[in-house]
Amino acid sequence: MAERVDPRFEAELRRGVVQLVALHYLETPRYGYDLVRLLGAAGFQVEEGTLYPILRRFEKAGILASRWDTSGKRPRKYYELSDDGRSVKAAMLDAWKRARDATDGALDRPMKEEEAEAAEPAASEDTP
Amino acid sequence: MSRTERDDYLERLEELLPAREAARVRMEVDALIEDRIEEQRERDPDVDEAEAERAALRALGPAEQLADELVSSPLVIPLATRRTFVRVLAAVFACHLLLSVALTFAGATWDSIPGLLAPLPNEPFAAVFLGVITIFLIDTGALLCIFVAIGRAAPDRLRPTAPLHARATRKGALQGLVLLVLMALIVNLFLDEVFSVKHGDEFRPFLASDFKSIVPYVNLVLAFFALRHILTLLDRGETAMATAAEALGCLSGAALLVIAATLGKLVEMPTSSKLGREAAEVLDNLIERVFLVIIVIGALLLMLRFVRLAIRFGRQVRA
Repeated sequence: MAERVDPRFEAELRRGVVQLVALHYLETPRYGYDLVRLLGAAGFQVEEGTLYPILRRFEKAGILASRWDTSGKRPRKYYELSDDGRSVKAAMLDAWKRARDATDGALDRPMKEEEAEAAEPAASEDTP
Repeated sequence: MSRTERDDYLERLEELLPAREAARVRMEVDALIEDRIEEQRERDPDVDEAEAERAALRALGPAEQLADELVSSPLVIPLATRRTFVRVLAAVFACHLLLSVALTFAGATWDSIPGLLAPLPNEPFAAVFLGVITIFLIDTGALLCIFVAIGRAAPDRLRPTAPLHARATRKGALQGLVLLVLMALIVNLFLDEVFSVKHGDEFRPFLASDFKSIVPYVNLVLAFFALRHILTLLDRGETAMATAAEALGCLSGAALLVIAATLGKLVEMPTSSKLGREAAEVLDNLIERVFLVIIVIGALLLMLRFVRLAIRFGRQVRA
């Protein structure tokens, strides 16, 4: 049955969340491919073509700060959460928690209880 | 040093990006590619360099797609814009072609608008064909320029054209049929009475016999429109056949109007003791010009409607 699930379902589910997880990992300075590896190990298989535009967008928005490290054998660009970025990450985390709790609540509640709640406003409109 | 796929990729990416960002993005993407190649080397020291490079490029995706993600305005033309362009082009081309054909029938030998509007050559066939292609290329080029200009100045203005679908109802079909019957009565039985001028105590018709000779063909056009309404009534709504009937009506109507515009004389004002020959000719000329304006506008509107119906018919058949 699992093979009948649209593969886009999971990808779309993860698309917003991966940004939050990426910001979480960027509390510590990291370079692009390092972040790809970390996200992969956490179960978020993203490739550079997906992650790089996200990092650039965050950098343009001031959520991430960046610097080039030229001390190694070749230059590497490191990204890190900025002060503004920490506020944004906190807001995204709140939004994620709300969505998660709402989803869990809806899925855990028995169906009959939901039908009864849905019928209540109609009944109150009928009564004089 | 020979060019690698990586060099080609980075160059293509750079060309697609705005100049102020291109160099910076190239450097960053190059670093990402290098990181992935290095990681592959760490896992397998004997890895083929070219294959490792290809794997890194695959992870980035096509340069066009990456560039599209990076710029604020889309590189890929949205479907809605493309659809709008095609529909507008179809309408403009049809009208342009119609006007050129009208000029050809009218025997014009001069360009109405040099380089833009001219009669089509009517022989040999190759010249006619090239004439049609030229009209298409002019319209495509002009529209492209307009779309680019609007796209830069106000990208939100390039909305899809108005929906092709206008619901056909039985009530509308009945009303349409009544209207068509009235038109048929006027055209076939009361044409002289409607288009007449009072001379003394009597009304004398002023439509030229050339113009009245096309009445049977007007009935054909009306028949197409009537068929459309009848099909709508029978099928309880619009079908592909009804759309086709209306499209044929519009096309034949436009063609008939073009032919009418090129007839020798449309109006022959009757003379009398109160209206001399010279005054009658001036009136003829005046009324003919008014008729021609109405005919040209009518033909263009019918042609536009034909194009929309043709596109709608295609969609109904494919659905």
